Amino acid sequence: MSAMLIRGYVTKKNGKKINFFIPLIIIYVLLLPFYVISLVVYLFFIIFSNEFNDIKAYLKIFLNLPVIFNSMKNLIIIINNDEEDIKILVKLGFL
Amino acid sequence: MSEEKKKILEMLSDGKINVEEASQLLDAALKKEKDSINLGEAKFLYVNIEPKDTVEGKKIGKVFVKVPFPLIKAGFNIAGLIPKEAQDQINDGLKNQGMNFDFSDLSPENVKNLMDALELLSVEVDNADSLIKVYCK
Repeated sequence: MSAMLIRGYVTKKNGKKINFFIPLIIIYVLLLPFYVISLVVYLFFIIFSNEFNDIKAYLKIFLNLPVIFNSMKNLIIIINNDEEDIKILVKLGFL
Repeated sequence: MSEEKKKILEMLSDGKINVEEASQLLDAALKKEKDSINLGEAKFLYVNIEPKDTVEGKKIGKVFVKVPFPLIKAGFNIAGLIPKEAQDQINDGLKNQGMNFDFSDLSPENVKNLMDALELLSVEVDNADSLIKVYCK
């Protein structure tokens, strides 16, 4: 199952806290039309054209992006500097 | 040297086994040793930077990154899909920075070997400012 949520925790030096989450389903839904178009274009290039190898390669990379989303789950990035503490988690859900 | 290997060598020196048998036993011992360190069990690559200086009792500049192995693998696989012209430009750029790396070497077999090798990676750099650790667990 793909990662579904990016959670961010930012703690400023003055004690101010910003917690946010980005449901990745929004990104998936936004990307969906582009995937459908890319898939059609990719198939068109495969069937009707032996040229445009570069375009085919870039389309292939774009079509492989879900693999990145799928493998992103459990990624943790914690950075602390003199201004703020930043914590970013990629999770399957809220728990 | 493990106890098992010592035992095999002792048996060889005592003449209880011949060279060929010792070699077979050593291979088996090596395989067992590799299995015991759980090759293929590493799940995450950790990058940890611990600064040594503290400001008001707090360490500033701390970095902790936990990267899932499948993400690294997916990254390598996607990097292998980069078109030839772009790969050449990246290779040239890397060469200019002193890194002799060829993107065309990123075949699925090489990626697998790289991932296997990465599981045993452990780098620790201790300098005046910070302690940097890169390891897999």
